[in-house]
Amino acid sequence: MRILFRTEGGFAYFPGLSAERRIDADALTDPKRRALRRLIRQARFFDLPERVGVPKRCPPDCHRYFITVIDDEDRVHTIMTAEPVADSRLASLVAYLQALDLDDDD
Amino acid sequence: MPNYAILPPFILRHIVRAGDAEERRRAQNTLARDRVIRSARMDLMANMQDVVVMTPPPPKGRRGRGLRRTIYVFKPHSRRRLPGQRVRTEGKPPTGDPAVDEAYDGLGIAYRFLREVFGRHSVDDHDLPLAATVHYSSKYSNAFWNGEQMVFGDGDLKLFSRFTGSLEIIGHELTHGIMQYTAQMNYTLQAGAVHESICDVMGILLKQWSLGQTVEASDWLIGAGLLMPGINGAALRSMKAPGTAYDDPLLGADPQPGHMDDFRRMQHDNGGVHINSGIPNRAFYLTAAALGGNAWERAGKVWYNTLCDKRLRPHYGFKRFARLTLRSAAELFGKQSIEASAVREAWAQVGISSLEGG
Repeated sequence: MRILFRTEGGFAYFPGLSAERRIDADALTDPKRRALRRLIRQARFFDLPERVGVPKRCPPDCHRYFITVIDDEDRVHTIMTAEPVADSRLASLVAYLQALDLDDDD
Repeated sequence: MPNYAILPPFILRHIVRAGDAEERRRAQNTLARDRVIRSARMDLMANMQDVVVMTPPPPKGRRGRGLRRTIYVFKPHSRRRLPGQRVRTEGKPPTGDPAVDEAYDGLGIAYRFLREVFGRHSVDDHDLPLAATVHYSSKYSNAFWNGEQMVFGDGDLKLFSRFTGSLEIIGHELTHGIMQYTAQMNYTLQAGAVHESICDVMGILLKQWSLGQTVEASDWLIGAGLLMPGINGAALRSMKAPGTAYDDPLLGADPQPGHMDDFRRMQHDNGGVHINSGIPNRAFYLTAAALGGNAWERAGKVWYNTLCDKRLRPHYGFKRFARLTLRSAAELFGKQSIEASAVREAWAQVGISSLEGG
């Protein structure tokens, strides 16, 4: 399973923080990999619409998140959500992705 | 190995079906990234289309009620709804929680600043009660105005500290509220950068006024003290010298331009609203520096008057905004005044000239 995660918006723009993060679940430690899979499952990620709780007009300075998951069956799904993320399970996934110390991949 | 980023999607899809494991992985990543980029582009275009037709909402407050503050603490386990649990209301003593008390004090200073300097009664000019939620989410490194209130994170404490610790950030966010009730500037491309810049201008004026700082004494930094020790930077933005606020391995280098020659065209950040705002930010600094003394007394009045000017349209970019600042200066101080001259010269120094007419 692989995840692409990007944050848009916020009080300021930082080139070093705006890059897309790529997470290869196989490269994570066992506990992190299990936690990540659990959070994706609990969020029912592949059942989510493409826009989750994104208002027609995002408030100034608010964060928007773009998450793509490619699962082990090669299913690909991309969603966009925005602060405040009202769905607590999706909010947990966002918080976990933010906290993961990354990177691998090409 | 081919450069997957330049391959068309139908070839990438073929590789996903027929390639080896490594090729499939790379092709999938590129396809997925394209989806993200497309989503971001659609979001930007949606924002561009939406905002032009909006009109300011009617004031929500009642003039004469005065300053009324309420500070809330975010409760992540109670359905994640804003504003959260009320912890301090108007007139109540400090709680001992620095974020709560900083937000409470900052809102009070901001209210008095608007009232005494610009004669404005709170965000909507009708004494709208001021609300803020602190300790938002977990290690959240941001602050924003959600259309009704301010929201502050505690910072991740690796890169950023508490956002309530910076008075200019409180002023910046509050000004997003003022914009909502007045100019309704778009939040994309050049108009978005004007929007952001006005918020920085009001934020720095609030800080200078609260400290009694002259133009010369001010650091002209937005978010000074917000970066954690060990991060190579002084702040998030510099209005005096855009592009010099930080240069750090984790954050990257401050990308703000200070002149139209370096204007950035981009899709990220709503079309670079926090980047190109460096240009009007510097124009304000140069105006204030030319006039000297207290920036809120003359340069600040010109910018605030422009913000409230009915001729300011939501889609106005730098040049049309600059023209209105010059008209404001002429109306407030006279066509041949040193204030009007300072405004004209400041815009010329950032690459925006020929402001008369239009």
